[in-house]
Amino acid sequence: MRTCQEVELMNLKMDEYNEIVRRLGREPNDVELGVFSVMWSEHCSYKSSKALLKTLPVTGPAVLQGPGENAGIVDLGDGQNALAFKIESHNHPSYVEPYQGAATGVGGILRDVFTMGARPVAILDSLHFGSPDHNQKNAYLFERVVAGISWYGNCMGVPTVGGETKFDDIYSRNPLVNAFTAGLVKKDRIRRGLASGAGNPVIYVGSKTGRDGIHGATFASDRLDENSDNDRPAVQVGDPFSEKLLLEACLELFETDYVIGIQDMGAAGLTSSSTEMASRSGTGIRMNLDLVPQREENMSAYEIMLSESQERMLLVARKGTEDAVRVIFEKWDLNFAVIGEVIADEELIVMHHGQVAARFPLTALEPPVYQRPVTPRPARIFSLPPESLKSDPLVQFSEMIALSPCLRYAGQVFHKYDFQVGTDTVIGPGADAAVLRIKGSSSAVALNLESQARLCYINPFEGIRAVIAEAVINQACVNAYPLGLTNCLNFGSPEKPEVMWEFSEVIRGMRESCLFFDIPVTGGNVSFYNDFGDSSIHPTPVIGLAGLVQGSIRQAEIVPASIFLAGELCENLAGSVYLRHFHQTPGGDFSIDLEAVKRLQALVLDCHKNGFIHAAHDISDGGIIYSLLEWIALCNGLGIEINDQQAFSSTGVVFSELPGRVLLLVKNEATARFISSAKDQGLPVRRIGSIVKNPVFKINGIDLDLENLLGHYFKASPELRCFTVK
Amino acid sequence: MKPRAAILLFPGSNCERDAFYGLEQTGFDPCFLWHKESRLDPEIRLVIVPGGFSFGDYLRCGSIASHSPVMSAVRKFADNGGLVLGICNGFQILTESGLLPGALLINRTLNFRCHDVFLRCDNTSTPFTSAIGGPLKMPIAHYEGNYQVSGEELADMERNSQIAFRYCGPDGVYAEGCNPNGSTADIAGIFNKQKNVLGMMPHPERAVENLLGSTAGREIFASLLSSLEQSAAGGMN
Repeated sequence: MRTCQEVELMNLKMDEYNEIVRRLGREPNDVELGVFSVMWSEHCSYKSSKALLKTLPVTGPAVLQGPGENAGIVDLGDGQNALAFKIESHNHPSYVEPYQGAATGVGGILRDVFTMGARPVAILDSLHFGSPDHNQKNAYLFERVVAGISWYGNCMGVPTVGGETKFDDIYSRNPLVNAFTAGLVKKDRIRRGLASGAGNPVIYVGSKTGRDGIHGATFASDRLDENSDNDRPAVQVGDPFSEKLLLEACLELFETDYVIGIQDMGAAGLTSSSTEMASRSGTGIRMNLDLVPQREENMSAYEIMLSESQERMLLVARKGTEDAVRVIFEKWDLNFAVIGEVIADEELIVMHHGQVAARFPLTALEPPVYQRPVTPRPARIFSLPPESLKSDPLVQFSEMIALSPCLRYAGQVFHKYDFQVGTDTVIGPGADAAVLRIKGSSSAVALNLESQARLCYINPFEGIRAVIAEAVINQACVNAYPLGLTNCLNFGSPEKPEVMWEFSEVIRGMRESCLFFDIPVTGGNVSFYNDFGDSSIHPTPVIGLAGLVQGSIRQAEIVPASIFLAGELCENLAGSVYLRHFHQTPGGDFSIDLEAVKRLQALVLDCHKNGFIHAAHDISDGGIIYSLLEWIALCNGLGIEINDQQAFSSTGVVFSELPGRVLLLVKNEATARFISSAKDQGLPVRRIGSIVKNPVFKINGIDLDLENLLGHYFKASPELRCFTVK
Repeated sequence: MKPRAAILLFPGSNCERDAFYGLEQTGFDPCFLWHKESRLDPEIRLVIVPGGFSFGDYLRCGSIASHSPVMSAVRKFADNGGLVLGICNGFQILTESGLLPGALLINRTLNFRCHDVFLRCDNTSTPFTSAIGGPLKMPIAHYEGNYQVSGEELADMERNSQIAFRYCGPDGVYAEGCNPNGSTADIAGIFNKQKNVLGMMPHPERAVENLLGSTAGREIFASLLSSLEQSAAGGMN
């Protein structure tokens, strides 16, 4: 019998170990214990989140594949194309080894998408770091993560078309690196992770197996601490060149009918891919580890089963097609090995050096499901000293933009990514959502990632409603309507009742808003244990939307015309950059009126359809004043004049970031029709000013010194200014 | 009949499909050619060496690809006056294989950079550039685009009108900061002595549609098309 200590070293609890013994009717050997340990890790098993995740709406007319596969898939409605998409976290590895950690995060999510039969067409990233100003470690993590993503994505030839970069010191010791990929697949060519048909060969393709990333899934399910730097060996090492070959070889293979099923060897490597494929199909797998291509000598069965070496795939082919499959992988100079076969009994049999290294029924591997304790709502209402809001918002804006890394041109990040390769990127990074056309189809897709961690900290239920509301409005700004949602749920330890309260509230809010907007959840990822020592990050659910452009693609056109604000004026500063900067507080409570957001969505889509507008832009980080600046920052020679005392005299209105308001640049000839259309839809709109032909930023007669503001805006990447300003 | 254009395909190439689409859009009949092939079909009129990370760029960029069987065939093709266009990593492969002089180093900013640049064409009397009017707006996406060549060689190249493109401002004249990578003499693209081989860092194949923001690449493909039509009409190879 193993001791409690031995069991905990495997990151299992003693009662979990006892359950394994009960199910097997004996003590597991070391290899078996390793298999159980990774498959029951939070990262692989979703044991703390599964019960709640099951409440999310996952079906809809466009859904071709919901949760449970390597990626979700939605129908693009053109009769032939579908979109596979998913988001995943790579937080812990990116803290310990930012370059490789972030790179392999991108590599993993790319494989999840192309294993479905899809050619990846876009990457987006949601990054959260501590402020890089005055903190070298944060600056280092930020720079190396961006470099790692850039290296992997660029080499793969998949454009990185958007995402978000947010700074808050809560992430200093636990940065978040979430990577999203979307890929195109013909509807009749979708592949899945299945292992059916006893006697069919189990084939290993891709890079060789080494001793890297062993127990990576377990490491991902543990807290970070002062000694985490010693966990470098748990971080995988990426090779985008091998992955590019693997991608091309797999896509060539998918043109044939040789494949029964395929799955990426991602977290928990050979263990998870083999057991999950068999479990989905109600079969078993017998494998001989001696046949696994190995990079290092004398690897044990334990190491081979738990290695997370990158750029590997496990596939099950039709018996008799082995040689034809081999030809394809050898053309691309990739390893190919038949390592086993599908068996009828639901059993895993692992042979090594002529001995049985592991053997047990797959049903025993079904992970436990926990209902973790939840606290009642903790007190998180942060009241503000009322006198602090009295000073002049226009003066404060200059100071805020000078000092806040959140309010800088993000070109420093996205111009390091090839966002154009593939020649489909119609609207690239920096817009409310990215838009990709599909060659040979009338459909175009819109993709965006959103999060609002400070709002989710104040009130996780309303917070996630705000995130989804904003994402929906962002889609509308590029004339798109969402088809599906993928989520990356970054939280602290689920063993803390307060974290479980945050999680359950986020799921409740997500469920409600997805039902309200009729957006199915097609998959995602839960990342718990984002803790450093005893402190947890803010609850940071990141959502990715895949939407369909309605009618023709419309690019924003910033030209002299009238600027309208659509939506109610809002004075609530909850979660704003303003409060964080000037008052070091997330702010007070708030609520989101989803009905009003839906009306706004309809109005913006209507404006696109009827050709009323040149451009639409969501109001978000930095408030209305920052959204206005963003409009002219990249337009040489244009300026903005605002004449609206009510909307620009109060600090609350100027800096509120809550979703529900959009800036619209209305065509002169369409103004009357636009106003009457808004009236019909019961939505307030007001003309607040106009884009003008000289480079000024004037609000109610006060000149804000545009050049000075732009100096701060481009502070992180001044060398890019002459290339990006038109 | 549309002229046949072969796009070389190395492990790690990743702009080959963009080149295929761009050539289709501009009047060519494109096909792919695997790096292990050692001969070019006689009907091929243009060879494109596309961008990407051939062989992972694990040695010097383009170095391994320059030794592949297909490059020997391309060298022969070029020696006989065949038209060869290397884009980005393709430019690196051409300098590594000796078809073009000089070398491409890491950008002066030490960053990968992806954005539009403006190009001035220095020699419009070549098969690649005859249809070029004013300055060209075209995207770049590279980490190693810093073109370097010795002063002596540069003087030689300038005498021979081998400078194809230089980075410039939107109006076609040099502007402060317009060179994104620190290249010698703001060079973005060069010809060989005979002007039948062009290597360039910017991506003309990404600039053939208004939808994506520029059609400047069409001016290069239109030049090639008219040059190939003329040589076909003249009965030349």
